[in-house]
Amino acid sequence: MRQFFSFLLFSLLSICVHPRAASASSDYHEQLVLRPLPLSALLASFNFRSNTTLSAFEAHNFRFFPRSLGQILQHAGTRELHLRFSLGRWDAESWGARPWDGAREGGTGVELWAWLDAETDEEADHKWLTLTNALSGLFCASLNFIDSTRTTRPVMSFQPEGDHPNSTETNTHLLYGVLPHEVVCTENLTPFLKLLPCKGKAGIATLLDGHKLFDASWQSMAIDIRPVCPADGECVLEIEQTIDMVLDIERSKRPRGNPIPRPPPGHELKCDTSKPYHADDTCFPADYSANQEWSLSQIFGRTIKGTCPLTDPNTPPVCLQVPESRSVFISNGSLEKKNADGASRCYEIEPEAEFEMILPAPSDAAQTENKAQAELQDLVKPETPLLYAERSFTGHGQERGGVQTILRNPSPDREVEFIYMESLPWFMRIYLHTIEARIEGQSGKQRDSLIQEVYYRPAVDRARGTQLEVRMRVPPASTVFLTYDFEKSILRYTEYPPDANRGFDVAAAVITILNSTDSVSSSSGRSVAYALRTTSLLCSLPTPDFSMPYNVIIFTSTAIALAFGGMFNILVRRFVAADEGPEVSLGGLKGRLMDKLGKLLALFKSKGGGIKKTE
Amino acid sequence: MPRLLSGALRLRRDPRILKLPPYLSVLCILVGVVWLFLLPLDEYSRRTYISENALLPGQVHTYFGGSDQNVFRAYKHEVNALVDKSNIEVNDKLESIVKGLGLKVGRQNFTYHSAGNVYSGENAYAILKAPRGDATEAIVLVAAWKNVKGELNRNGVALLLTLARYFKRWSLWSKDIVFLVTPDSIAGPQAWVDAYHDAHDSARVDSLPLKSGALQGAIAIDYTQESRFESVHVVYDGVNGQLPNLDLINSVVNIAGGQMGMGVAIQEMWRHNNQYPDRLRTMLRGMLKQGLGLASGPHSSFIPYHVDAVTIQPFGEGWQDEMAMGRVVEGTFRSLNNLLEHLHQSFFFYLLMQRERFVSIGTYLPSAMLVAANFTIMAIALWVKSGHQPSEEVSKAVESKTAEENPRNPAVERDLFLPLGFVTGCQFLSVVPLYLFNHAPETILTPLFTVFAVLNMALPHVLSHFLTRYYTPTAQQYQLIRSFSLLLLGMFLSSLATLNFSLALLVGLLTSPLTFMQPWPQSPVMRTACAVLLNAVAPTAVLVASAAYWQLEIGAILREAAFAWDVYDMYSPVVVWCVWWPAWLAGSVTVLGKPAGRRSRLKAKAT
Amino acid sequence: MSSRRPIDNGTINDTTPSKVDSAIGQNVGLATDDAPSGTSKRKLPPPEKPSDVRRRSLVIMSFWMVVLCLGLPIWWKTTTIYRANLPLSEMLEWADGKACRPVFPLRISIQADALQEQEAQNLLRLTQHALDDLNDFAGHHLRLQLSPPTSAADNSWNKDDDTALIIRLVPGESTTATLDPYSPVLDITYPPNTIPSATSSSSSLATYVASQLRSTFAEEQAIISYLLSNNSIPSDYRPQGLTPEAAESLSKRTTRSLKYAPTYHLTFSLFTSGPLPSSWDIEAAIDEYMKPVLDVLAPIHNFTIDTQIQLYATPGVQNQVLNKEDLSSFVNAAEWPLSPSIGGAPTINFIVFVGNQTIGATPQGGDKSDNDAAAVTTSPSWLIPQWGTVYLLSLPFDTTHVSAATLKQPLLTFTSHLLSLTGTPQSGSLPLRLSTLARIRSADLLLRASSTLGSLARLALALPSMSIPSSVADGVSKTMTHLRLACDTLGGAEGLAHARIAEAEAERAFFEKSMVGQLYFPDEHKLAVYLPLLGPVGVPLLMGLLNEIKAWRKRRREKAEQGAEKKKE
Repeated sequence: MRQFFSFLLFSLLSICVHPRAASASSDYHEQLVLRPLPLSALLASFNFRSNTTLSAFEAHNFRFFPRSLGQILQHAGTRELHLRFSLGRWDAESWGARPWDGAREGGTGVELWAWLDAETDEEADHKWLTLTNALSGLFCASLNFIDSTRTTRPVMSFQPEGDHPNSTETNTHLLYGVLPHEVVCTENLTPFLKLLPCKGKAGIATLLDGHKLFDASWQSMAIDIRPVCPADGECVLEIEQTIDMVLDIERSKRPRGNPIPRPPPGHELKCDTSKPYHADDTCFPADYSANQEWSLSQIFGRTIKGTCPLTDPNTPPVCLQVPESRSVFISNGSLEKKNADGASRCYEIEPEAEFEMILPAPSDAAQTENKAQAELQDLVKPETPLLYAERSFTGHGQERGGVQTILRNPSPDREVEFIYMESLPWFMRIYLHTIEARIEGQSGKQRDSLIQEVYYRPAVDRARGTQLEVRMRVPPASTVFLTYDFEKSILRYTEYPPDANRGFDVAAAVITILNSTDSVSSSSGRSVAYALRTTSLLCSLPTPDFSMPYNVIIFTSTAIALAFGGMFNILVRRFVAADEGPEVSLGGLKGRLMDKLGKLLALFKSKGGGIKKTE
Repeated sequence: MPRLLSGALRLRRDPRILKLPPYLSVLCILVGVVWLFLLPLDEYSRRTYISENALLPGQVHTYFGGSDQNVFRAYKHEVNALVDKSNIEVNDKLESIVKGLGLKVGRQNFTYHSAGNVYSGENAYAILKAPRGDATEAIVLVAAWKNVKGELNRNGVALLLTLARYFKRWSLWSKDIVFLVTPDSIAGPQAWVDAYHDAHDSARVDSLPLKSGALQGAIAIDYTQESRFESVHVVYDGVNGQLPNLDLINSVVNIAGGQMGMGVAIQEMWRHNNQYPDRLRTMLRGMLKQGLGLASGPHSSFIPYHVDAVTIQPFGEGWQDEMAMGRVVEGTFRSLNNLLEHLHQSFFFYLLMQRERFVSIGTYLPSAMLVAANFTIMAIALWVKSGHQPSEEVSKAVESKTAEENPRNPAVERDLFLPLGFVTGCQFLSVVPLYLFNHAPETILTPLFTVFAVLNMALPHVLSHFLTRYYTPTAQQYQLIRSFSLLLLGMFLSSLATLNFSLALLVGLLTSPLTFMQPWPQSPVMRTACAVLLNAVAPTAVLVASAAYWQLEIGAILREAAFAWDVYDMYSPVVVWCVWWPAWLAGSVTVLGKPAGRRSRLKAKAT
Repeated sequence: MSSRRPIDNGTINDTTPSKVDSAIGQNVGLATDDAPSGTSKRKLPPPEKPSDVRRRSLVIMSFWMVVLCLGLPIWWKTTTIYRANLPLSEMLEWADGKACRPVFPLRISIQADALQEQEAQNLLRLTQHALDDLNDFAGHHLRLQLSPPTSAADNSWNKDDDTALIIRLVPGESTTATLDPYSPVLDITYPPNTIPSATSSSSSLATYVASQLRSTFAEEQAIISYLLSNNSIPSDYRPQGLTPEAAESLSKRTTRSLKYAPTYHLTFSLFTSGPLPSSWDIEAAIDEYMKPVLDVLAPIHNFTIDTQIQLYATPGVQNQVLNKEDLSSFVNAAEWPLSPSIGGAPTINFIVFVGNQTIGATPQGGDKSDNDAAAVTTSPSWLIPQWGTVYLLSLPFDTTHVSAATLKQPLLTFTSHLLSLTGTPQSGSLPLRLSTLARIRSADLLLRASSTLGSLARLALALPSMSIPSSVADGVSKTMTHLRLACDTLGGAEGLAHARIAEAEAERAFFEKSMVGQLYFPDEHKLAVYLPLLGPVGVPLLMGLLNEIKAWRKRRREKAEQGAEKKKE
């Protein structure tokens, strides 16, 4: 992964670590990097970068920079903008470190953070509102639901990537909003493609197809806009669009016609013939993770149609990361360039021709036994990430719960220092005193030794969410449990969403690993080495039965009425001894009945007769 | 209106009122029982229906089959090779297979101690991550290595492996799928679920190495039968008589019965002609299971955590094969996968009397409540009555005329100390058997029980003798004793009825004689008769009787109870020993009691 | 018991034979009772102390005090919907045009340096007469004045005074009238003999001038009268001479032109069907060809400009030769990023489409006066009403850069279309047209604002349960003040400004969000909420009150009786 990254640096003058390296020499780059992963997965990361001079931007003259977005930025006074659409999970155990060192991905759903020009916080909030509303219109995402309760102002986790003149630093505000429940889908991809100069019509963008993209096991669309001021030449505004996706080769090789994984005919099954009981009707399936042959057209359903004419000619549009040993077939006319590190090769493509690439399965010699080894030598070994993180709820029930994050530092000798950021909804009231970090295996709380700095902004009901930033360290080769408890509050019944019983999504925690420097001073100014997100959580709140609001009203008012009635009567009634009240008893009742009866009889009978009768 | 009120207040001073309660109680009990027997009629039970529209059971075409059969056979071979291997070896093999499928595998050790035995083992489970999901929700497929009866669940485990491989091919899962293989059917799942919700005691149960999101539902496969089967049997009883959401059962019935065209049975009613007797039998079986509150399969442990779960087991000789079973599971999982919200629409309190007929709590609850109410009524009546001088006490010298003139018994003040003390004493005493039977080692359970039974018979005599000897309680005090114990009983039962209807009803019916027990100072015949009757419905006696009826030995039952108590917190023992037994004790003591006349007591005091 | 009955009967009988039945009843009742003489044994409760009685009445009174003085007001305060009171009648008056009769006094100064004072005066008077004879429209009315004789050197009209037109009378050999294209000046030459003598009551020159003026302002007059006729202006202002076809063409034109806005976004887009060209000299072109017009329009509208380039843009219609039906569907709204710019101002799109498609069937005339409202075409471009213009530019396929020179023709077209999109009249010289535009716009705004007021008033009347926040109220008041001002200074620059503000305010007041909130709260719900509370609480209160009143009455009666007895004794 490290060489993957350095290679990216080399190949497209990547700016995500050294912004100054990016010069406005050419205005548009695009590149696709393909990288087979273990368990027959394929990482495809598309990168499109175009920039416009700030002067042209100010003059509303848009060439490669999309006008629709530019207008929004100008209208909302945005200096730097980062927008993420993500889906699925990155399986760090088997796939290793994340592409771009996690700098180009977000938590599940939609994530947006931006530096806005504003004198006051109120102004910043107002601009943020307009920004989110405009973006939601542009990207067909419900970004407009990022309201004050979902917006936070991180202090440690994010640093601006672009170059901002120091004068403006004072009145730029960083706002961060996230929508964990947003389901990213095709309608978000289409506007994304529209922003590209060549649309989806030419170049590597032609591979991007909604069905394939959203069938991926993990995918993340990123838009980063930042001002870049090279040492020489004028400042440019740079927009970088990135799409990273991990495709399950077997699943995406399935033809578009029938996506249903019907069981293949018996004779097509790849069986492990070594089994003693192997027969025509008995087949122990061969190992799933054996990596298999694939081609661009199989994976993406189409081939690359030429190149985008605007792109920088000295950036190879397609790169593939497999060891030198693997042989690759490409359509003729395009030429291959092997890189020095021996782990990657790039391809020049004819401007008009279609480009097809086939990666045949490795030689069967490697296939026979201990496939793990074979696979490793057929693939570029994934680089282990700096940190593994896993977050989950603890406890059960509707009243309170806890959150537990397991942070594992794989490196044997290097301590990892990072910032752990949670932005929780207001109805999760966390107990800050319960936050604790302990190293697995060791008893007792090493809170102080592990947690170095805590920034906590408590929630205000219905107004803003909890913001928790913790700067902590994990010693080498050890696992740290970070836990805290929270209380679930009860919502008003109009505040529940229509699918209240599903639960409420809790946004992913953002973990920003800082470059280890000797100065343990403030985290600001220390560049980001690696970033990762945990998975989002589903928090179930106590949910009433919405079918009967009036029963509640009636119950409560009855209780009130009882209390009131009792009190009122005690105050108003007069109490007398039991034998002082009027006589009432069964006898009395009966008597009254007989009375009536007698009257009736008397009505019928004559007076005297009546008396006689009663004798 | 105020006049009426005062009228009603004054009515209670009428002696005729005091004669009513016994009849009222009888009426309550009768109505309760009759009510219960009316339930199976069409007028009172309803057809089941799916109320969660998202489920769409049986709407999707299921593709499991074809060459998966070959794979299944292969896995079957593997499983057969593992028979009578140790739990660890089994899990090693399973882990290697599932890892081959590209799933993450976790393992978990657990150890339970109960009645001197050690129940330990290792769960193995794999998580299939939803291709586009994000670890927020999950559904579970369980196959215990051994089912409840202890038979080897070969097909079940093989089917689970095959399904795991098949599900991996789909990309439509919106929820993670957890495949869980446990060594046994009760302790293993319990340990796993506890650990999943971090409700486990980490001394006995390990935490889970990897986890997924909130569990939305679970299906357990119990497939021991080797030959082709005819229809499936849905087991749904949870721990402590909790039940899964009716929608889940409905969808399984709908898929298996409607889509696959195989029969569906519940409560071991292998044949069910949808007529009154069968319905009644089904319902009573269901109530009995519910009342006992025992875990009936791997699914039971999930239900307390509000995870709806059922066990599906095939039975009968037919032409359905493993693939059909697999398709049932597939269909059910597709339905669960459609869920947008946690199952909440349909009923959680119901009695099934046929796979498509049920009564909901609103309909059946009154019967238990009535039975419970009879105790309360009697208790109140006794309290009131104890406030008056019993009519026998009124001197015979006064002739009827004056009696007529002064009908109301003069109020007397109640001395509460002895009754209260006695009743509380009984309640506290009840802790003894509870503790004994839950902590004694299995070997001595049977002898212990016999001893206890004998003592239990003697105890009332001893106590009553003791009472009369030292305290010479009056009839009023006996009334108060009965009043208090009945009051407690009624209270406990009526609140229990909302939690575990069947248990409340059973205990209520078995204790109903206590309502009418009273000391018989004059007629020893009645006294002995009552004593015998009471001994017949004593907890111990009932236990022995039921054991004899089902040809079980007492020891096994007690061991099961202790195991349930230790592993999955079954509270039936508490009800038996702390609600039923004390009431019984108080009742039988009153029966044997010889109330001293007021005057005689005064005399005794004087001398 | 039967043994005792006769005696009782006897006793009763000899006392009051009439009461037999009831007595029997009584006795039966008593006899069957357990206590035969129960009533006799019952002792009556001791008479209540007056202090207790007073206390009880005080208790009940205080309860009711709390309910009436605390409960009701709070309930009332918390549940009433706030409705600021609007001057409904006046608003409706505005809507009906009773409040203001739009009059456009056009001052026209005559420069007749060659004439003597009284000659000129005389001519002016005659011309004014002629005009008044010609004019039939009260709302729009020309007033002549004699401008002080200036040196012939500067013939530039100074902007500061708001004369709509200057007539420069120059002696010549024949009577001709020429309209200065760059300034609102009408040059009229006249043969010296046509100067009317001081006595003559009519003059050919005067009538000629009058007719010239009339023709000059004919269109403006038509438009304004059209606007008025469309609004509910009482018919006495209505112009008579508005022929239906003229009205129709006017309506076409008004539908084509955009709704008035102080600011317009101009978006210049270069769409190419292929990868090329990918750059253009749009700034230069705009500065060169469009700026002048924009500057002239500046007093009426502000403009913001942005430009973009879009490659691989496929039009909505693929076929090679476009006919009239295709034109309307040519713009591919789904694909092309022509999103209206954020911020209130409307967007006018100017699209240069580089492709090899051509427009077939060039429509008749092919000029703006054509009656096709859907798409007015001037090949190779056409105007899309209220939206913008598309210009088909065909270039050699390998051009990568579009020069400013190439953009000349497109931009000129855009300019002319811009004018018609903003609704400028099409006859007369440019400055005249613009000043006319200002007047038309102010009239238009005036009318729209007042009609908005009217509908707001009607809404407020129609929905009594709608809450009206105070912001609406002062919005309305602001609107009306500005309307008043605009109405007074109509035809001038500040009139336009006031009309603008009034219109904006009226819109804001009308589209106040908080007005729709409370709207749909059915009364059944209120009942369901109040009844369970008021029932059980209200009934005891009421009963208590009634009992108390009854008791009080009784007491009073007893007092009265005692008083009476006292008197007797």
